[in-house]
Amino acid sequence: MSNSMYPGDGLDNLLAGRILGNLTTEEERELIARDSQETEIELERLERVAAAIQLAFEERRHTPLPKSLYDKILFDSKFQLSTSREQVRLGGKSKTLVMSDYTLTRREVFAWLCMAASLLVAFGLMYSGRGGSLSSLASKRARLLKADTELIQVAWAPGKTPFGQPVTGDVVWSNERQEGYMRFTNLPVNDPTKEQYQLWIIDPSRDDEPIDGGVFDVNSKGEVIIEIHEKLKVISPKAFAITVEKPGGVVVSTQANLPLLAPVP
Amino acid sequence: MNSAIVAQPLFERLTAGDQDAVAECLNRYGGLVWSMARRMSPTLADAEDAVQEIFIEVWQNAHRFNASIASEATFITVLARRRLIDRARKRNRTIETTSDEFTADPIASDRDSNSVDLGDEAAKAAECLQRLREDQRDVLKMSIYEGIAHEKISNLLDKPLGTIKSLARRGLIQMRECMSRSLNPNMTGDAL
Repeated sequence: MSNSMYPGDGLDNLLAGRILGNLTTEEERELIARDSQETEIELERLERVAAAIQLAFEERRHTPLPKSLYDKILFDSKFQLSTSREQVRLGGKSKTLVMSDYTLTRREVFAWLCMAASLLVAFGLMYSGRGGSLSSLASKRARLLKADTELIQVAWAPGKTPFGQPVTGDVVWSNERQEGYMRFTNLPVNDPTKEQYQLWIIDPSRDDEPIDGGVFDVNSKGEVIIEIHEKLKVISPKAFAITVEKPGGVVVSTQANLPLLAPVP
Repeated sequence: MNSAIVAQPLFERLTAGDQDAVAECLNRYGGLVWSMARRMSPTLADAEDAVQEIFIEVWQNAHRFNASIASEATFITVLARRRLIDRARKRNRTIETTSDEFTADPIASDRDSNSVDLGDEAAKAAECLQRLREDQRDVLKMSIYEGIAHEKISNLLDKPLGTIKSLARRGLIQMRECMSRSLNPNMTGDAL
């Protein structure tokens, strides 16, 4: 039973508290214990209500995005859209990646060439040891490694249900900054319409239940870096675990499919 | 015979990788997201980073949009709120504005601003908000719209923290009940 100090239906109270971000640790634990598909549906519904409330207070007219920001988002979207489209197509009947089918204008060709040139420069800088980075996540990870000397860095090892292929990589996590990144090599590409990867952070000093570290997809072979999106403050993690879950992830995992584990010594 | 051309929905075109749809989406909702990000971010640079992350989420989740569940504006607002709350929590401090630059959301002149259709849910929410007690409405506005932490609301309104939490939770639950009375009952059970 809920020991909530707030009257009303216990579950509704907990769900509202989760959306408003004002659950106590005890209430958070109780909500996790009461997880079900129904609670997830209700959480999503309340999330939409909160969004509608936000919209109700919003003005109808807004200052548009700054031009430079607008242009950057528009340009970056060429790569991000193609990635998400490949994910969607992978969920269909064909497993074949399909190249973009829009016709490149001369201006776009120029932009792509500039992009290719800058990548070459980045490669050159990286391999010449003079700095530079290929991706923002890689550089963020590198910055974290430099910034926090108390950082946790642990390697992935096979879990209860290992993959059929060797997967390597590591987790870096900063308790101080509440920031971390996972690196994987050869993590199988998933079909996000059927299943997604989910990170769990085992932190007994905080709770008996693992902390949800976020859901993610892998859409390319080779090395990938994923930012950790922990849902609660991490105090002293003892292990990081990857499970395979239904799309959107779960609040509590059965751990039936746990292919990777990274214990903290 | 009416031969009007019906445009393909925005999110279908985004899912198909249509670059024109990206520009349309930014024109239509960029100002809304920018307004939210400025209000709930400590600096301009932080707000710009947040907006970029939010739109990456929008592109990556475009295929999950379901018009029978939520309007485009609500869909984008859910994604934006998730990202902004996550970023605020990572900063390990309350979401609050830190300078006058962000406390006001000045509405630009017609020439410099863009208009957004906030959807039926927003209109219904506005109607339901009027049915709440004034103190509930005030707390929900401060908590959800302005992104102020409940501890600070407690100080600002000079009321116990437990009272503020209770007002916010009850208010949100009542809003759900009110909105579900006249919105499509099928608005449950799918992504977002």
